[in-house]
Amino acid sequence: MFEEHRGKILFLAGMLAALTAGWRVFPVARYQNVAQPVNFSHKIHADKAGAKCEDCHTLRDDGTFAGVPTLDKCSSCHAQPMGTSAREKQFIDHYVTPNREIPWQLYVRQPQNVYFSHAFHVKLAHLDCRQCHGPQGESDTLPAARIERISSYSGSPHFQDMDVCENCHRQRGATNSCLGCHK
Amino acid sequence: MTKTKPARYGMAIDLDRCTGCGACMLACAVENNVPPAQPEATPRTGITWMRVYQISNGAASPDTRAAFIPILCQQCGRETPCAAVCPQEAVQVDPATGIVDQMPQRCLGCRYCMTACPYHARYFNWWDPQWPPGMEKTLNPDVATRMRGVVEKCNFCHGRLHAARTRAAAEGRSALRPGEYLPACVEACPARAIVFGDLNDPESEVAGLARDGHSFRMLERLGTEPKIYYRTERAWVREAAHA
Amino acid sequence: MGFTRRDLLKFTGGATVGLVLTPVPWGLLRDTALLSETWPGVPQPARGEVRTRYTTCTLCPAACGVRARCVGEQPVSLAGVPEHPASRGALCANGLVAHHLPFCSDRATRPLANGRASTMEQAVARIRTAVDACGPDESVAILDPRPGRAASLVYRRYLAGLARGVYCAASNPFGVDLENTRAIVSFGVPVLDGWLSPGRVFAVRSHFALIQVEPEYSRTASLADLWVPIVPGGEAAFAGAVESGLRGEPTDPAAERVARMLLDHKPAIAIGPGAEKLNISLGSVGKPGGFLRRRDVAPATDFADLPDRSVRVLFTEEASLPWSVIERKLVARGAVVVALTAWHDAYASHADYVIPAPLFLESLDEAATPAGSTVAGFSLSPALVAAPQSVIAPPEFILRLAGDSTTYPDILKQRVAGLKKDGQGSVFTYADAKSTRVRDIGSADDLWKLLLAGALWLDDPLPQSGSAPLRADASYAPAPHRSPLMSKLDQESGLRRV
Repeated sequence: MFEEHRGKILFLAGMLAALTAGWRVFPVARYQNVAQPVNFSHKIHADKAGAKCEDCHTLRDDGTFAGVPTLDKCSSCHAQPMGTSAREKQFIDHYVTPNREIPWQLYVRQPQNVYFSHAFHVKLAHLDCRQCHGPQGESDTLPAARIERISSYSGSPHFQDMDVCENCHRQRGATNSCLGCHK
Repeated sequence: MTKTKPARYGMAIDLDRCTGCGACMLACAVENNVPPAQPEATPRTGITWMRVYQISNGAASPDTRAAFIPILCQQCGRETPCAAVCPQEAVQVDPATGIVDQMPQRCLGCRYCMTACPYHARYFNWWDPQWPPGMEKTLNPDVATRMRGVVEKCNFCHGRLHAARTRAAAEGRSALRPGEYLPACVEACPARAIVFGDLNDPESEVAGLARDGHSFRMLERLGTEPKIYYRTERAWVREAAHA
Repeated sequence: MGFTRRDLLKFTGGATVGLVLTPVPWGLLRDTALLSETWPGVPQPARGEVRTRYTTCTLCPAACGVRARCVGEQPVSLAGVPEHPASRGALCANGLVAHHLPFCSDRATRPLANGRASTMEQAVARIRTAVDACGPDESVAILDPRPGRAASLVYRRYLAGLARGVYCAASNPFGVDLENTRAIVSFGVPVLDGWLSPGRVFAVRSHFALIQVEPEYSRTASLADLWVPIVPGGEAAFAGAVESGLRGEPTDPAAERVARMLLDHKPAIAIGPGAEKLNISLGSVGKPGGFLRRRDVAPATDFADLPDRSVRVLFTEEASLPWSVIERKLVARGAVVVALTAWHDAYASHADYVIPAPLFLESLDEAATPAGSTVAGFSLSPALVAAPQSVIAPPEFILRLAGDSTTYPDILKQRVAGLKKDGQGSVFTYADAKSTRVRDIGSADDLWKLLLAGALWLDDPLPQSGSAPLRADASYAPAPHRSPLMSKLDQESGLRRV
């Protein structure tokens, strides 16, 4: 039986192998999961320190977004240990004391020609942080960043390419001209 | 979603004030990360999104006089030639601003648009951009760099439009005030020869100048409806421009 | 039967078809395309917070206010300061790209002695020896391209301590009341192409008739209301002819035409070599629309007035005169030229010692009275970027020669303290375009802080007498070194043939 249909079976086997590799292996192998250098807990800071999103992730006066805060934000409280955990002590020893900026991995590192303005989306579209960033603010640990191995950009799963942006823009009647979001 | 009335950004350039100093050309290159010339570049192959031409009244010395004409993308509003011919749809007229958007990242470099443009206002990257060592530190983060093989042109300093809109958004505004958004050439001109604004706003200075009898547009007979108006009180300059 | 080549081909065929039905080809295509955007060689702008910082341009004596857009600490673009009294919110082509100068090649970064690398100490020792070795008819001269600075005072003091020191500069105690002038007859001065500050000139261009008297069809001549092409060297003769015309005497048609224009558009001024006597005929000294006297700057020797072959040791800053003019004044043998400069070419190529100086934006500097200003002025030019290690500000080098360890910033602080003590004038701050009387500023330290954040001190106007001798102002800027982007103007467009 096998010999009769040897060719077809091998062909199908090849297809199956490729389909499996393409749909199962590739989407995972395409990315590198890179852990954040500091295992920061949003939950602790929200609960114990009463911090809200905009306390650290600020919109400057000129509308640009400060993004991930720089070390001085952390040092303003953690110059001395605030708690008793070994984690915090390690953080202070490695970063605060030598005044070394934390090399955070960016979850959404987009090409240079993409222009995304937090000011538009937060102040004009009144989007909540969670709508794009999920329940990040309530997490106890930071997820690993999914960095594309070849291009070294990141943005998955949501911001893989511009479909997500285009769909929402179309629904809400926002700009869909090229230079509306590109530079 | 907040919607503002569509704008039609345009310029009125006073040719009687322009002295051909080239400040606009340099400010444009600085703002838009245009690289310096390669050694082999010529006026045909260089990249000058804003370019000032010199014309003469043709009189014999000592009555010879010059005029200087800054040429940039005219932002054609009707049957935009470059948008019509692009096979990649890399050129699009933005209905909200009237600006002819060029996406170098989408361009495949066929240069059909350069042929189509009646104003020679489009430029091709014949070489990979190269800056002297260290000078990349002075690049403007609001504008993406381009690679070799794509066409680029003036887009009314879109990086500045983004920055102005973002600043306004931080204050909760979606509309821009006059003067809040100015392209680099407008800001740099020491003679204040260029006026920029929304042609759709009847109160704006540029709209007033556009209506005035001294204003004309380049190659009006082609019907491209450009948004750059030129003004002069010198008859010879007007005749030369119409030639 | 084993696994044959045919089997492999069938398997591969199936795999290929399967692969096309997966995201793999498209994903790989996309990722490699994106990779091509970021591989080495594609310059990426730096990211960082955008800030505005202020300083004053020192590339030429116009002293325009500069508003720098900085990403982090690095200026990425320069613009004028709105409402700046001297520059009216504009910068010239050179100023707009001045932040590129640190990246130009040909930068002098180490002290050189006779073309070979040296150290500051060695240079100081050898130059001191040369100065001490001056003969009875030989002098030590400093050629100052930007007189009126606190640095200029350092030079004068140093030279005053020597047996035969000569301070050379184009001194000019008069400003031009351009806003009220109705006609300018220019003898070769590039009025529309480098005179004073372009913002100021162009703001009032439509108010005055411009008569350009020069042999060449220059940029200014091509835009003037009247161009009179004279023979080179014929300025004085033509000026004389115009004076005759003003008196109503018959003269050549061109001079008559000029005289007619000057009589029809009053007040009128004459500028450039040959203009002194004409200004007396025009009555333009000390009157509105004419030349207004500023607070006295101590007189200086014009370099061209020095006896030939009399200078043994010459100190120069950036180029301001043609080398041939300078060379004539140096002693025939054993002359020592010390170039205090940021560049290897220009004077450095003729110099025995090259002492590397900081560039504009690299080190705290100052600007004296803006060229053409009707009142005395002073501004600081704070640094926005780091200077290379081994550069030294020219006045600090002269102080070292004199055995003085005062730093240039201290000299500048003394100058500012002097301004506060005098209590005259007011300060225009760049950030908010406001003016504050010096009397209303708390202390010298407060005044220093204001100037350091970007500001211009302007004196009060002096009462005019109208009878002071007028020296024709020929102090317009030499072409500084170019940013690589200047190729837009010549190589890539032919607008300016350099």
